[in-house]
Amino acid sequence: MTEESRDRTQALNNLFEEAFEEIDPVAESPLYSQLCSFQERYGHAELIAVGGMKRILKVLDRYGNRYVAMARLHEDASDLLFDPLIREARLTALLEHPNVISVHDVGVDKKGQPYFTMDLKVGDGLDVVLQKSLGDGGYPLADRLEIFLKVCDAITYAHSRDVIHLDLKPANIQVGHYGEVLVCDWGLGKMIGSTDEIDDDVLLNPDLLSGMTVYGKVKGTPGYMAPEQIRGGTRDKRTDIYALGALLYAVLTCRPPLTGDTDTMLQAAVTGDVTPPTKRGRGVPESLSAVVMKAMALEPADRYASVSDLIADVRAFLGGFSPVAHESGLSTELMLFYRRNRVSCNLAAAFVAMVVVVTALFVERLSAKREQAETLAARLRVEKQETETLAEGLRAEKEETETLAARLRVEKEDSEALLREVGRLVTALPSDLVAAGDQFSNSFFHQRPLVSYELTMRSVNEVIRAEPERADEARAQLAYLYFLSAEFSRAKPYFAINPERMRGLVRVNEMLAESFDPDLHKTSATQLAGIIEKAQSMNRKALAGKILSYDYASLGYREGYGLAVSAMFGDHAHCFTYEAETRTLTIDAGGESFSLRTKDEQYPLRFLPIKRLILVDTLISDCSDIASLKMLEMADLRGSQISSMGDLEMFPQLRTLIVRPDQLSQEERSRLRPQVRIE
Amino acid sequence: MEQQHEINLSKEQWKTQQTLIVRARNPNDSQAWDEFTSYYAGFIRMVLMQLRAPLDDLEDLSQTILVKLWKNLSTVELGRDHARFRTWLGTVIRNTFHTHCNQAASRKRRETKAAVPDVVPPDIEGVIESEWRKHIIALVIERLNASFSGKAMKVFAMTLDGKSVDDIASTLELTKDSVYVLRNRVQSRFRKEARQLRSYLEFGQ
Repeated sequence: MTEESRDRTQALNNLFEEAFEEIDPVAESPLYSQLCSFQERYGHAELIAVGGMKRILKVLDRYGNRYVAMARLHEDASDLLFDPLIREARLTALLEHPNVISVHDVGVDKKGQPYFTMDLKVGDGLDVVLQKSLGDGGYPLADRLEIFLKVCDAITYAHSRDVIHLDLKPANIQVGHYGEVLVCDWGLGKMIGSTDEIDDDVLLNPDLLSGMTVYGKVKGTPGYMAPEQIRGGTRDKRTDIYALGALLYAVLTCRPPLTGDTDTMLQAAVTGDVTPPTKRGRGVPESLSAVVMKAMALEPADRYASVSDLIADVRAFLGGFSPVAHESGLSTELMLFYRRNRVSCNLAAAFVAMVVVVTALFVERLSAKREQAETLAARLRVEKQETETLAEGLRAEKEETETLAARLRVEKEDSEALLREVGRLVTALPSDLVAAGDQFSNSFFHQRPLVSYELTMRSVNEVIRAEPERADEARAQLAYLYFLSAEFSRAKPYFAINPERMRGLVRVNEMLAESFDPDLHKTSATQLAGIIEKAQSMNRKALAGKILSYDYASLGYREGYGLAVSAMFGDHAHCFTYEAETRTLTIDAGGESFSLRTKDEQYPLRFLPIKRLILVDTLISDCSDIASLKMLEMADLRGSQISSMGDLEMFPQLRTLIVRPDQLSQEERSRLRPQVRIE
Repeated sequence: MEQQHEINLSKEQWKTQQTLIVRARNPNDSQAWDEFTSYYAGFIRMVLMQLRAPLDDLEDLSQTILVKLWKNLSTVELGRDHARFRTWLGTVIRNTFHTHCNQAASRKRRETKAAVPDVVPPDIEGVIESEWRKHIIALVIERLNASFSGKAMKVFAMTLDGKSVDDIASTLELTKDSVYVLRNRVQSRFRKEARQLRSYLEFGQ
């Protein structure tokens, strides 16, 4: 301790002293002190009800710190009433049941007055509840029946303890807001078979009771009192059952079972003149009415033997069965069955309805389907016929296709030839470019002038790029190519490289380059004819043919093309006359012999759309000379030596043939006749 | 009913909570006497030291006091009041000390033939009171140390040093609530132990 700081020592001392301080009992346990301090257990008394014998006060139970109800005799009550009060308290205290009011304390106050305390009632008396239900917004019947059943539970319990109430009525039943139901006022109750019963006279002596109304000589309340009670006969459990019946009556109808003045009511009770509840209120179930009438039977022996039987019947109703008391018919039983099994019945009905509806829908769908099927069948029949027609068509088409295939094969062979040509071109460049100008075969150039031209242009450019030592040769080739495509200005510089090699052309080119510029306007047919003439005159027939082929491929047929084509025949050009309007070509050879084919096996005439051909004084003897005329419709062969048209497929459009009478053999005539008119 | 219940309770108390003093009054209970000695010998020595008894005489004096206590404990009348035993204890210590002082003074007078003033004893009751308190507090702390964790005792110690709850919480890495709980637990145990010890050591009945 010595090394502890002064503060710590002080703190410890304080703590030590705290331990032994006088403890204030109030502070330590205020509730205990409070409880010890009470002189009086009850206080704050407030009168809440007054009866014939006693008063009910609301008092504060200081011990339990709650309000309770206290029952006391009137201030000036006779001592003779002391025992009845205590007896009531003890009797009630005997009954410990949630639906029986509880007694908390029985005692004698300082003035020597007996008292007992019990639950402070909450909510309303059943009489008030029923009154409210009579109007709108009260408890519905099902809830009221629940309340009634709780009363029955309380009475069943009391009966099991051999206690009978003898004053059951709505006013003696307290209904709380949360389903609490309390049976109160056991003042008239008694132990069955007990001998300590207090003389009725005491309870009924007006001298003893403060001037409150008592119903004549009768203990109890008319309307709820059993006949034997009124008559002063033996009272037992069945007396309570009568009262419960009357209570049920009130619960059902919300009205007391008997009406009128006291005497009338007593009279009615004694004679058993009770109007059935069904006649007193709307919507009263007949079966429950039967329960009431059985419970209120005049003779105790006719009533329910026990409260549990009564409960069983009410529960039977609530569960949807018919009570024993109610002799119900088949329809009622069925109705009840439905009510009991409302959900199941509704479900079953809904299910049946659904099945019916579904079946109906199904049947309807089925017939619709059948109709559909029939329509479909009809349509199918039609379609079948159509299909057959189509099949025939297809067969025809197939044949056509085969023909086409055959033609394609031919074309394929052509293409292969072309490919070979191209292959040759690309793989092997000609050694002498300048001499060539036709390093591709002539037939290939005439077939594909543009492709051929382009390929040559490329290969030449390739040579210029790749083989500088041959560049000049290649450039000379360019001159030739540009001349071919009538691009004289462009050709000019290339001609200048080696003017000797193509001396003639250099001059022609220079001349042409000055005369027109194909970049500004396309070469006209007349100009073309001029160029061809020039080439022909220089005896460059192959060049002339290529110029024409190239021109036709790039620019096509145009006005005056007949001249250009005629120019191809050089000296014989004057023999050809082409009329563009009628597309008629007249060849007047004047007895001279020349071929319509060039040396290159080309047919310059194919560049003209010729429909009519008139041969005058020619020596043409082979129809193959005119084989290139695909559009030929009419041919006047009188000025020729042609004696056979050969393959008519060469002339798909040919319709009219004019011949000399003896020109065609009989055989040839008959062969041509189906297709061609021969004049 | 209530009356009966009360009587039962006090009987129980009697049996289980027999105090050390009560047991030590029985001359045959040597174990109780040993325990008594262990509790009081140190205390008596401390009181004598506070009274400035000469160190040479300390052992003798405390022995004498213990013998006196032992001789008279069984016969002395002790009330229910817990102060009685300590009053008696104080009386025994004071008388023994006085006697001793006077004897020593007269011996000195005899020996030196000089006037030796009577030793004016200091406030002997006060010394006994404060020493007793220290003694009990030390015992209580010992017991607390035995039954609480180091952390709880640290909280307690820091509280005694006047540290705030926030300080304690942050220093010991506890939540404030834990600090409150531990502090209150140890403090209330302190009070309880102090009460128990005192009644055990002081109550004669």
